Amino acid sequence: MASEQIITEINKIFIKILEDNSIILDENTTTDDVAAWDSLNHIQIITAIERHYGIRFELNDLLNFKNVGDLCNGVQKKLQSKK
Amino acid sequence: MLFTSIIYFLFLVSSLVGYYLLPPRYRNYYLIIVSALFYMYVKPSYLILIIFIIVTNYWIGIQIEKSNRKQKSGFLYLSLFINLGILIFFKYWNFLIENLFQLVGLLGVSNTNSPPFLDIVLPIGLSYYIFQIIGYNIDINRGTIKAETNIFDFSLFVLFFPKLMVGPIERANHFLPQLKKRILFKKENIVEGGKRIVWGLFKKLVVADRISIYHDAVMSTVNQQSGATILFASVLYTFQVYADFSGYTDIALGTARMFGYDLMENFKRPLLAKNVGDFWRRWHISLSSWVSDYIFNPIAFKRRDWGNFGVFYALIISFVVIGIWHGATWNYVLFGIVQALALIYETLTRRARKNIAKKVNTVLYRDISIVLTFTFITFSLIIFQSATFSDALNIMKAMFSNHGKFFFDDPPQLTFMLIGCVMLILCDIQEEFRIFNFSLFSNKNWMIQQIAFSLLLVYILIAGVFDGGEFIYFAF
Repeated sequence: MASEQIITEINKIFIKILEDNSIILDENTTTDDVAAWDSLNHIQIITAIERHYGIRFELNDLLNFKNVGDLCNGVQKKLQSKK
Repeated sequence: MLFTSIIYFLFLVSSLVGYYLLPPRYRNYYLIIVSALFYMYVKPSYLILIIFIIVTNYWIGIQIEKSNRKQKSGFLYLSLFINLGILIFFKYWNFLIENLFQLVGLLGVSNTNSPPFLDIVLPIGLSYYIFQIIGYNIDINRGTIKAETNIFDFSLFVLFFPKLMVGPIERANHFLPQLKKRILFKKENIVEGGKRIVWGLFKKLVVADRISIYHDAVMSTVNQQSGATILFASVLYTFQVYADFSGYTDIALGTARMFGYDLMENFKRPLLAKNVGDFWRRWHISLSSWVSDYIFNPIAFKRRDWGNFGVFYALIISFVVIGIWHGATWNYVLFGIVQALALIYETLTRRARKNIAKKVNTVLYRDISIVLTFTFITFSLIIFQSATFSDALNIMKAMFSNHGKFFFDDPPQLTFMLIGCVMLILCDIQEEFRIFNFSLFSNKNWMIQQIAFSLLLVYILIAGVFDGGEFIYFAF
């Protein structure tokens, strides 16, 4: 799956969980750029992404996500290893 | 050695002179010696304890890195066992034994032995550097940092005296790389560090210590005081704890800066937080982010299939740890639980609050949120400061039922203190919202800035408390 498509889908998940239609993510977006994105709803976002793609992250994957680009790469890797 | 004592400033100036007179390659060794002397000032024998902690954790860090996955966990558990064991022995032993004996008593087992309490002095800064070292070992285990192979750099990572007593709880990935650089003398570091120290002294000596005198006078006679007086003293106490701890941190950060090091920021205008979650992202950041990274996130992630309950479960454990980190008494545990409950409430009402926010003027909503958060924090700090839960209830009861005259104590001193509080909060408001076009302490005009700091120094000398006083966070 192309990374643009993943970002678009993840963007929708962010909008749904954080209930904010104005969120526009790109590869460089970090928690500092999205006001409502905190450690409390981070877990909810991750769980929603896992369910959407039918994948399962490890805690170590999460620790290496520094921005949305890393998160997308993480999703891509998991999808590839599923095949 | 208190950061506000004359001896500290003599120590600081003499160590700084020696530091910059030495060639840069020797400066870190010199800092290790200076830090060890600083540590020994309270109780020389505790140097043996910290050397033991440094050597064992240096070795464990390297073992974690070079071991296979299974052995890694073994070494991490060994590190947790040693570090938490030391912390529990010195800080929580009496608390655990007392409660164990009470539990045994409740179960009806007759026991005539008296509990084996320990009469020992808590080594300074123990809770701070033990947490820092645990974080270091977990990071190596997670593969996010490399183990430090230079024992001198690792020693300074633990011992660096500006952060030794009251933090911040540094992170390896922030502080260790700084130790690899050669520090050169820069006038800017001395000037900026000095300004930060002056600001810290103002917070501590004028705001925190002045409030402390009034607050202690009110709370020691709480049943004779009017409700309005108790409320006023409680509001001031919130300012006191903030000024006390952040003032101390300013002196720590200013001192580190003078030696060419940047320690992490520990406060980000917490009294202007818009909700309790926001407060904990601004208050004692080095502890709250530590708990978030090493306790909350792993638990919440592990329990993510529980939905909201997983997050709530992780929140309660995290805040009990934050509470008990402050000390081995039930009031701190309760303080932590109250914070966790507030965060659970905020999670559950997020949508409803958002809907209200849409209907109300943005600035008004923001300001009301700040006042409500401040009120909550003030009330939760009543639990924090009370030795028992019934003491806390007594203060709250007296606040709403006692009548009588307002207690003024010493009006001129009270005025000094209130001016201090206003200055403190105005500076925070300016930094947060940039509402004034004019700034005194960060003015671009060098002259105005110098005058502002000179006047501040004069104000500290006039209004400060110079007969001692104790840092609240010194005891942790």
